[in-house]
Amino acid sequence: MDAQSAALGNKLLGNDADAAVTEITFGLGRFQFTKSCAFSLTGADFSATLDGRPLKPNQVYQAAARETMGFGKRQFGARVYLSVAAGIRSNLVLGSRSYFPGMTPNRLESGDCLPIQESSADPFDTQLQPAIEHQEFLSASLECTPGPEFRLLNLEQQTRLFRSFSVSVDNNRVGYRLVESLNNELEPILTSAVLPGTVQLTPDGTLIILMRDAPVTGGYPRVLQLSESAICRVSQKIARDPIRFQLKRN
Amino acid sequence: MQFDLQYQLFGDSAILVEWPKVLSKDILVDILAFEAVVRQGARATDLILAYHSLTICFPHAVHFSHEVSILKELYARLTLPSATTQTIWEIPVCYDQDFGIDLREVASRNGMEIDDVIRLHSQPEYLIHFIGFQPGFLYLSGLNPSLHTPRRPSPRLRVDRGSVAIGGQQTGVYPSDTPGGWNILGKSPISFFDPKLAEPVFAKPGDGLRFQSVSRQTFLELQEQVEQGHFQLSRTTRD
Repeated sequence: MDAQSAALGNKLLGNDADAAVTEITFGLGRFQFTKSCAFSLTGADFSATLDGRPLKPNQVYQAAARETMGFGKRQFGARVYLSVAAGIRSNLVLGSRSYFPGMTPNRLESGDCLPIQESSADPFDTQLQPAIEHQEFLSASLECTPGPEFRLLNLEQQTRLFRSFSVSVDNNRVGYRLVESLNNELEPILTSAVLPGTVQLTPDGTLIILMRDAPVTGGYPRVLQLSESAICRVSQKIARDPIRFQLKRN
Repeated sequence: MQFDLQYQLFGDSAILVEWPKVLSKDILVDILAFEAVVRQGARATDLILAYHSLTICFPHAVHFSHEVSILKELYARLTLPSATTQTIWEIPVCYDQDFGIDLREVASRNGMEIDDVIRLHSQPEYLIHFIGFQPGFLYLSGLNPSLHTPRRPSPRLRVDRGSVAIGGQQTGVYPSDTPGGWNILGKSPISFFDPKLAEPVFAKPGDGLRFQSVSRQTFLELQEQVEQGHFQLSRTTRD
């Protein structure tokens, strides 16, 4: 979801940009290393520990075999990325190592074993990698451009669209619904492409930000399109977090 | 035939190309031919087809006027393929009300009986325009206008895989459990997407499709055949 944080984890470890990482939502999970392994945690901060020793985000650490990593209190964000040297060697399905419902076997369950390689942290220089500023995760502002149906909105809707909204409890990898709605009489459109970051307006006025597991097409008007980094920022939001769409200046 | 195409920037790195806003076989043939030449150009990372649009995704931010001039030139030189063989697929559907949870509402909204909805839905030969929404979701044209029914005001959080549904002037089958806003008429026991196969989706844009009404008993038998991997979908071809 937060592709920038995932990419940062791979970069810290000198991995290929598309090496598989594990996304951990709300710090729900404990991981015991089966081998001695270099790893990093990027994205959200959930007070991670390795056998009780505190871990900081955006650093490379070395775990010994049988050491256990877990999480504690939430500091900020929603999703932590656990990257290991050489990436997680999960099965390739249609060119992807990701879990996807209906396409790959079940999501990670307690007791599952993730295939990793033995590695050592020594060759990496963690000082060289710029982290994503902590402030960025807290900002409500989301950079966007007008979507294909933006011009169908009336003036009242266009004005409301750039005031504040908040993330609803209906948020997952497919999309984030927003709590506040627009007055809407716009009809659905003839089905057309949608992208991650497309903001749809449903007939009842609800706004939905489509995320990484979104469909490829949809029938609701596409009113805004988030930038790549705005998609990453949204994916670190939780229910009731404020957001504000901000048109990118050309 | 050349259509008047509209080009629009969609985000930073995609271009949305739109044909006139109608469901037509001529437009489908034109979009498929254009898609093929854009794909040959190999500069796009993804091409998303829809009824009257082609979205071209690039791996980087696009210089809009530059890309559009390239696309316009490709389109001006486009030649349509000569007629090819068409495959028509037979899709079994059980229109039992336990599955078709919106049958009653679709019938009353359109001033008809449930049996009329089933008859009118399983009568035509539909044309497959594109595979969208989710892997294996076939978008069709050919729905009888008397069955056109608006999408639900807010999507359901979960629709069962195999659900056969109507949304506006469109009809289709949900290939997996998913949130969805269409009105559900019945359920098909067959699999529309299998990532283990060389061709994960059996059908392709341009193919035809018919829904065949089957009893609950037949549905259960077919479901078992599908699970055991014995089921063979029936099809016919036409030159």
